[in-house]
Amino acid sequence: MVGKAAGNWRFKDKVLNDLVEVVTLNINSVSYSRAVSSLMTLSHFIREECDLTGTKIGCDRGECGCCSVLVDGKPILACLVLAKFVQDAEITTIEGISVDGQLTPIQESMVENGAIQCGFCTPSMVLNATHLLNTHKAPSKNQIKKCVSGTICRCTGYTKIEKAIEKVVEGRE
Amino acid sequence: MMNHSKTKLFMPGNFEEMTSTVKYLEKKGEKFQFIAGGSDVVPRMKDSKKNQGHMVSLKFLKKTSSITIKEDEIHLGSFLSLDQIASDSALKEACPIIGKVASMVGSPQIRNQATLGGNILVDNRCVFFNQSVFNKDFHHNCFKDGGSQCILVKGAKANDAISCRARSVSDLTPALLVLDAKLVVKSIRGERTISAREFFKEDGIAKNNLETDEVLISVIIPRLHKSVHYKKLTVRKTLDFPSLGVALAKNEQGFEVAVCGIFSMPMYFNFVFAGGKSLSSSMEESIKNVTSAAPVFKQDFFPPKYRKEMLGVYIKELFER
Repeated sequence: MVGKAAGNWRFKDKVLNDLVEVVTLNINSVSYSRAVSSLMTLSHFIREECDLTGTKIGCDRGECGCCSVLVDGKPILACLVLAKFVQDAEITTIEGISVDGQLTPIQESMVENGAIQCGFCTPSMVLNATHLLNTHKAPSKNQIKKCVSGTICRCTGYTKIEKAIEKVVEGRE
Repeated sequence: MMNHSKTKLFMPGNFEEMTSTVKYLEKKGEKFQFIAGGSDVVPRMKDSKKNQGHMVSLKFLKKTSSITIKEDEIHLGSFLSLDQIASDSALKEACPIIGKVASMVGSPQIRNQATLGGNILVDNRCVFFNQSVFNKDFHHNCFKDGGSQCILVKGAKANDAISCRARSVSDLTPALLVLDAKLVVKSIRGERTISAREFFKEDGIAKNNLETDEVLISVIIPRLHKSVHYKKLTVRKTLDFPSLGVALAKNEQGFEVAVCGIFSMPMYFNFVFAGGKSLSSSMEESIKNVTSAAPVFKQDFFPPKYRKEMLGVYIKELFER
């Protein structure tokens, strides 16, 4: 277990010096109990311990925004949160937003509008857009821009992603 | 040699539990640090070559952290997330600058998890310190990393009055300095209130007057009905720490200004214009005083000369608003 926890996220000697504890997280309405390093971050817990690899790890320092997940409905960066810290929260990853295997309106809109290229930032963009659309009935252009500003995309130039969100809003009216 | 136990995240449920955890760790001689939102502490933990020691969670403060608006002052709990501060409509009305500055910090995701206390106590940054371990392997450890040299200032010594020139990057601090906010800190020994203007130290390692076992629990902002403006210089409109941050409030005699992002502590100045002098010459003199307050080093994307120039430009711009 320690070997698994000692992936590339911190130096092996540092991780081996961490206490291994049982951490129980509620991810996508499924309870996962794993014995992991006490200081393991949520992003590594999700990917390495739960095999939910939709959540991406880019910089692992809170700069790229690719590891966004919803914690109690709000997007946060999973690489900056210790897994043990969110034991009492409801965590939603990209795997948990579809209902009965059907794409959500924002996912469909992103496919239709060519808002996906390499796809690395897509899970984060979808989760951030989901939060925006859940909290605002008709978000303004500025709010949409702010929503995508926390995730770095090097392919699309953001325009198509913004358009995909706008189309969902238009469809609501 | 002390037998250190394995590093752990402690999750005390209340202040009493936290104090007993701190007492236990101090008795054992173990290193520890407090963690709230984690957006500052976790990257530092990952980028450090050495083990940073135990973490003591301050999550229990969440229950008591709230926004209380009184007639003469505003109380803000230190565990409030920046997003909570930015989106509170009552606070927007009572003290608009705090919410506005909070909405300029980091990215939307970071604002959901970063706390008010964390922003005030954010670690000073230097281009040579805030690097990955891979990059750090190419040079010796600096003072801030427990080493014996400063890579930024050649010839600096550990026992110099200011050994580390890492710059202060808290966006909210300049606004709090201008508003003359008070910080309430609590420890085993009790509670004390410190003026924000006397809280910070001009050193990139020591940073402030907080003891290792003290916790910032709330911020008190007097309702002085000042009109404060803030502007920050960054490469991108989102995510970046301020390369320069200026908060300014005009008054009848002159103006108050606080600066972050270029010096190793947030600086506060109160300028009273002398009678008989023209406004422009008084302004020039004030700007000269600010820019010559401390040396600016090459530790940011923008060169020091540019940042100093922009400091003058921002002061003028905010004064004219």
